[in-house]
Amino acid sequence: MPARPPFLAIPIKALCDLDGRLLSADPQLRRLHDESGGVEGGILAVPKLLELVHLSAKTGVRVERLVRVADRTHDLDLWVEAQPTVEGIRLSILGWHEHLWGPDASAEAATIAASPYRMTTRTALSIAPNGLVIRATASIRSLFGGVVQGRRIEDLLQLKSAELSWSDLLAQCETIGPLPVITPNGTALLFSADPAVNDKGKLVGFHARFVEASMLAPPELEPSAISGGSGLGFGRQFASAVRQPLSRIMANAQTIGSRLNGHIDESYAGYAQDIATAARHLSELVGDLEDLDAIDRADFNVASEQVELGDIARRVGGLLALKAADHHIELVLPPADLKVPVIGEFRRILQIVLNLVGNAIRYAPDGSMVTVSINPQSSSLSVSDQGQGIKAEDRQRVFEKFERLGRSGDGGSGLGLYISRRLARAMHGELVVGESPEGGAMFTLSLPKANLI
Amino acid sequence: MANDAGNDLLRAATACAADAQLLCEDLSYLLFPRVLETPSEELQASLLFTLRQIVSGVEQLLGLTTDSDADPQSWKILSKAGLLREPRLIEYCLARIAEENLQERMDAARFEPLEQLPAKLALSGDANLQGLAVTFLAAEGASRGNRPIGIARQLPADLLHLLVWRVIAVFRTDAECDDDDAAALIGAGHRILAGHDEAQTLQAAAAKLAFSLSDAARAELLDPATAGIPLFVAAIVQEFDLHFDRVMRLIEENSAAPFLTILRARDLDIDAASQQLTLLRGQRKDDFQLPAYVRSFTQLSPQEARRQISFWRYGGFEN
Repeated sequence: MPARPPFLAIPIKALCDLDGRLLSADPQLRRLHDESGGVEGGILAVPKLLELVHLSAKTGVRVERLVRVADRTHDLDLWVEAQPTVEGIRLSILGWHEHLWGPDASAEAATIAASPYRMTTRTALSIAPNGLVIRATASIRSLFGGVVQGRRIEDLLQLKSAELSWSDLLAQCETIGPLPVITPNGTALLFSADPAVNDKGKLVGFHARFVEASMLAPPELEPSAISGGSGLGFGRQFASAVRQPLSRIMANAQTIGSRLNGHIDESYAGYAQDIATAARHLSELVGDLEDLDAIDRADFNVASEQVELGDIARRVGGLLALKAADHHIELVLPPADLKVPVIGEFRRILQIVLNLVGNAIRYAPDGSMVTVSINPQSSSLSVSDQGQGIKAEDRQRVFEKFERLGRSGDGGSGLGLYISRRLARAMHGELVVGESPEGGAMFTLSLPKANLI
Repeated sequence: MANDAGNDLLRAATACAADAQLLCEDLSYLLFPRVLETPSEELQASLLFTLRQIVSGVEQLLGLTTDSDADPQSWKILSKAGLLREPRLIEYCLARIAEENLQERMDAARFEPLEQLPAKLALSGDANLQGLAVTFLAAEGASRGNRPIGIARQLPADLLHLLVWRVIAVFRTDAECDDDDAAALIGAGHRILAGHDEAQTLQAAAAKLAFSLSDAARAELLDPATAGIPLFVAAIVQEFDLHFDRVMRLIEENSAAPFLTILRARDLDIDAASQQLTLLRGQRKDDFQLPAYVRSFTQLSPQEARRQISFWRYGGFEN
């Protein structure tokens, strides 16, 4: 990234009258004014700059502030001085930094473009009361195929209902939509917008969001995709479709529950945390379905690399330490100097052990002990608990799809052990269950031994 | 006699406490319409103290008093007239209280003073940076010392304007204020405003310094231990396009979640985040949910954290 330029040697200047009419301006500032829909001799059309002019005019104080605006291609950070003079308010831009579409914009646009469903819940457009777009996020710019800022909303989006007009909608200081609209390239969207008012209650614009209409009606899947024959499997498509909305549900519920937007009653915070927890469980289920889809495919394979089981055990111990502490469960891990090198795919082995230890913590009684041990002779890792154990007649069933052994309401999907065993076998290993010395369950994952580590 | 004085004092204290209580309830209602939790008594007391200092500072700037310890003469009427229920003013005071708390905690956490970045910049070879750093250090000194005038001089333009003219209005309604006195007061008001320079306030000086640094140098501001709190906040403000006072209050918020979200959005790992969390917020007893936050922290991707912050920006908290 290039170094920031110093403060400008020659400031960019403009002069406004006390009402904010632009009397004169250097070319760069004139361009901003024009691109924002300003007219010759009209009120300064860049709202943030106009705010400063009004503030300085009202108070008679020299004001210096950082202002973030946007031109047709960049977000601009401007260091602006507004100074009352006898001729009016003199605006001086003392610093000017440009950044193209913001730090995450390209990544965000790529993520959204890669998804068959697009959903934008954050403010995507800021619209002035006269219908001019003041600011747009990168994803929306890509949806319209280019410059959005400075254009009129009616040129960008056609209302599906002929009975509505943009001018009528924007004239009311009320929430708009959701309304079906169509972009110039024919993409169907659902548009909604909230009014933004200043501290005097005056309408200063709208913050608009979109949901792509395809979100409402899932596309028809190819039969081959559903059967898992070729192309993306159903699980993968399903997962990619619901993961983003789910993560938004989780994030929003988390925000509400942690009172980020202000204090709320304890019980409401609790409900929000429940929503977040439910969404997290659903997200885990989606992950399981995606895995299920992957491992059932004919072309599923795993990498072969040298992995050390002690390292895996300690990592899992670190990841689940807090969860164990919540249940006052002591997590016993193998000693640091004991090493068991095996062949398999690191992240898949980690996934299996996370599942085994997670289950042990979930089902073992509070205050008990969960032990993760490794055995160099059998190149295996075992997870044992002090719970009720699994009856001999159930030990095969527990590895079947959706098998919960009669349990419910604990957030499990009944897929974890099925997936874990399939993964173990895909790595030429095995996952079995037996009885631990303390009477609880003991799951043992064995993998091909590696000679070197 | 002594008993009468005691009763008067008690009556005055009760009236002030009732005002503060009403003020806080109004504020809570305005800021958080669904509020059921009222601010703590400690916060109410700090708020009242800060407000009185500001009013007293404005009176001193206007030449109405020279006694820093005396109660502001316009206080009673101003509070009854509802000035002290101005949300923007209360927001400002709450942010200053948060700032003081954070500073106090950070000073207590450091066993030996570090050479802070502004002092290094003030000695740098770049004349532009040097000037900005000196302005910042001067503003920092002014905001900490010489109260209550110092705190009044730190006000942003709109609040100074509001307070100056309200205080003048109170004195003009006084029966003993003749036309000459009123004209002199109005003249003083104009002089104060014309002479006020927002660029000399701590917030603006910090923001300007953060703005003028290269990206690499600005990254150094994101360590509060070396940058100090105002510059640390200014760097966050610039990075996420948030309001200075809001960031200050979010860091000091009862819940650690907002600050953790900011730290995650900066792509910090849990160790670095914990370090900053402890430095600025200390080991709070009411952070009993910290393990849950830490868990959330690791599950929250930096991208999602940035998205969350954009909700704060567009959720009515815009600058």
